Amino acid sequence: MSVLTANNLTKVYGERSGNYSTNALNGIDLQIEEGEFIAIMGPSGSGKSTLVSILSGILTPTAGSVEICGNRIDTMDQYEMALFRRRKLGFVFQEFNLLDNLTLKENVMLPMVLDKKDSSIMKEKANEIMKLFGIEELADKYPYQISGGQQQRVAVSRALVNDPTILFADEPTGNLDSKSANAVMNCFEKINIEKKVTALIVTHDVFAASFCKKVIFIKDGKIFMNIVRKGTRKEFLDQILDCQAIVGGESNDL
Amino acid sequence: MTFRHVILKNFTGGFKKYFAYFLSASFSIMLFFMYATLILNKDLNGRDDTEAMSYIFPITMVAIAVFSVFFINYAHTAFVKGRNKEFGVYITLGMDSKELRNLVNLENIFIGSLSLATGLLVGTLFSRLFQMVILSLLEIKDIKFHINYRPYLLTFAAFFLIFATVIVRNYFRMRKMDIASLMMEDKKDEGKKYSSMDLILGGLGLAILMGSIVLLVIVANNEDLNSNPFILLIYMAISFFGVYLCIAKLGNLIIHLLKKSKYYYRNILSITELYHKFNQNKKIIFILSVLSTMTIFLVASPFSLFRLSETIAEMDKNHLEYVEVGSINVLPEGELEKTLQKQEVSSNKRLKFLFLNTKEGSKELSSSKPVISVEEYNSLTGNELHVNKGEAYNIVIDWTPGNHGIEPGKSYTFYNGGYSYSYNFKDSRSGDWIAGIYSFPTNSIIVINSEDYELLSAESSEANTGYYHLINFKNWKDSKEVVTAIKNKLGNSELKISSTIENYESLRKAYSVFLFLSTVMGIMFFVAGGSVLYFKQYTELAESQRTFKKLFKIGISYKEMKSIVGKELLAVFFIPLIFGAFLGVSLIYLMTYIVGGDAIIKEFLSNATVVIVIYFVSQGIFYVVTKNKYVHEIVKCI
Repeated sequence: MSVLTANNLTKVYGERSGNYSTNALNGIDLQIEEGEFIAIMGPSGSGKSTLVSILSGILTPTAGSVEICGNRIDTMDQYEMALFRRRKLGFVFQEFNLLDNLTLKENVMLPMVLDKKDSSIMKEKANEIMKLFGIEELADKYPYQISGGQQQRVAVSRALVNDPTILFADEPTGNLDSKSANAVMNCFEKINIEKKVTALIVTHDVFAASFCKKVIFIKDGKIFMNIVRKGTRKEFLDQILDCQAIVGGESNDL
Repeated sequence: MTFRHVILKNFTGGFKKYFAYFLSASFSIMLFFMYATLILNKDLNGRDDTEAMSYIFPITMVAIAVFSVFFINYAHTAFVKGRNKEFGVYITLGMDSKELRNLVNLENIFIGSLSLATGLLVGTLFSRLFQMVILSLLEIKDIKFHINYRPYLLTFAAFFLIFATVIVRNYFRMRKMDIASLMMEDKKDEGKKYSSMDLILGGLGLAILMGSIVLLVIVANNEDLNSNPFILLIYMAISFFGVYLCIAKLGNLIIHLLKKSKYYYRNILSITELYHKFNQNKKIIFILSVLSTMTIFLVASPFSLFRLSETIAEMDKNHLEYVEVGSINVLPEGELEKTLQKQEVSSNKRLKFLFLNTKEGSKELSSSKPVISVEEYNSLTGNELHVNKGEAYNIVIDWTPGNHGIEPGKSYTFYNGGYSYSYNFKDSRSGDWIAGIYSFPTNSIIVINSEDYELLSAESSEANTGYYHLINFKNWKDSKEVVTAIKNKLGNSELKISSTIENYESLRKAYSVFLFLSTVMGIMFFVAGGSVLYFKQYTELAESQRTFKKLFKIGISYKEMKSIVGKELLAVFFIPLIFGAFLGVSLIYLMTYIVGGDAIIKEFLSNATVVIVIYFVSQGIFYVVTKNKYVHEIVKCI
């Protein structure tokens, strides 16, 4: 069953007819099936972040449609979108986006807090998910007291606390060292395998992308090619590196 | 690039950071200066009608000093907090701490002098404009705007001291800073953990406030204490200290309880916001409490006096009264009626009475009293007094207690050259009369039996007969012209012409300086309160934008944002008003005792209630506007 369907997505920044407009997306069609774990890669400025922002309803497309589980999100009003996002979608950001004033546990609960859920349910759910990622002992600390990798795992926990239909991540390892990045990507893999969570991440980090089952390359606002993981992670990593060389952008020539 | 270049670059580059601090410093300097021009205006000092001012000045002085110190301290902390990360970077880059301190000191000196200059300049312009507008609005003509070097000197000295303290404090604070904590500071948890000390100190604060009520009653009712401005200073300082403890310590306790309560998760964002910013918030709440105290006190007082002068004036029995006796105050036939034609008159009475010398035995009484028959007295006042032949009643019409020269049970004699009649006085009591006590200099009248009166009347000459002229207008406020005309016609006489309009005007005039000062200062404090709130929101906007941007990505609707922001603002907007109402009413109580005794306290307190209600309503409007505008600003950046 397809979880997300996007048709002919176009995004133009600035005045449409003006001289200073930028076409970030040029007609992208995308279909994501349940249980998929996809990475979107591409050079800087290729439109990856714009794409994930539109798919998750943070930005609205200039043209085209996005449907998640039968709901057209590009036509929702602000209020519907807010509710839909916190109930059905999870989002992980490069800069973690944890609230400084809340403890980590409270941060994890936040989407449920906004939904005015019962506090015992919230606590139970937050505990369960933090335990899954091995951060339960950090529950009462504040974001500035822990490392970046730990913060990102808290952010992933928060994104998952409402059992989202699909989990989005925009450069989730962008601010992390390789060890922390590894830990975070293991979390993604774990939830994809164990909890069958559908996930879409945007990354320029081949190492992170190699955890996924499928990598889509985009360039100049269009889908350029996609590859599906068949063998081991190591093989997939090499395959991604080869494709990246074709797509251009960051050069990994040694 | 030298060190000096870095400072300069820093300054021009980070203008926005400095701007808020600069603005608030300039603002408090301006306010202080405007206040100084008032108290140092020689037209307002050393006048006998400004007795009340010698009490208002110390009270406002404490308030304005507390405001200046706390507000600059608040603005400075907010400013430094935003800059600490930058300092951290400098230290990492190898700037030694001495250089950094020099940098910060230079900045402070620069901002300090710039805001001093700006504050004085704007203050000079505004205080002139402001005072003139108020003077013309209140129609006060005998106060002029004066300005000399003294307010400048006073302001300069005061703020030099405040800035010096800030710099010294900063110096000590920076000596114990390390890089790590500097870099973290803008994220750091600022809320203080609750400890049982908070309960003790908070309880102490509450006890001080309760104690201040007791002190208030003692001071108010003790003539020696309530006329001592120094006691007032102490009273103010103690009350403000109590309020501060309540806000800081009980505030911590309440937040602690809220965090434990079942409402916590419902309002987690608002509560944690209050908690983490409590160090700053408690200062703001305290500053605003001081300001709203002064606003309520200073606005309610002139408002009450305005209302009071009308109430007192309307207590007059007639709008125009004069007494015609012998050849005094006599107008040609028809002249009075002719003059009165210019104004609509609702009643015009001429009432005859006898005006006789009185003695007790052989002792002459100092004042002659009007004598009328019981029949006439009853018909005029609607009383049912019964007086037998040979008896008399002394009806006291002055509100002050006492017999006013006539003791019941004694016999007094009326005499006039040829005749003398004695009457046995049954009673001397206060009662109704149809005229005031000013037009005829007496505080009581004598009522005798109608037959006795006929007899006396027949024997009295025209010189012993008087006439009350009692005139009422449809609209006494417009009667000035007619009253003046009649006064001119009657000329200067020994018997006063009493009119409501003139009583009213002289009351107003007596209060004019008080009215002027308290209105000016009340408005100053009111504006200051609004500005402080505005300033607070201005400095916090960037952080709120960051927070809500994060929340928006998780999924939060416009409506929910508004409710979260609303709850955050609620405490800051309304808690100060509650303290302000409490202290404001206390001060009004104290003031009325000092200037007027308990006769006018009811009027003052009821007017204070009106002012407080209006204040709450206008604050409510301000709250809604701020909330909407603030959310709008947040949404704009998302």
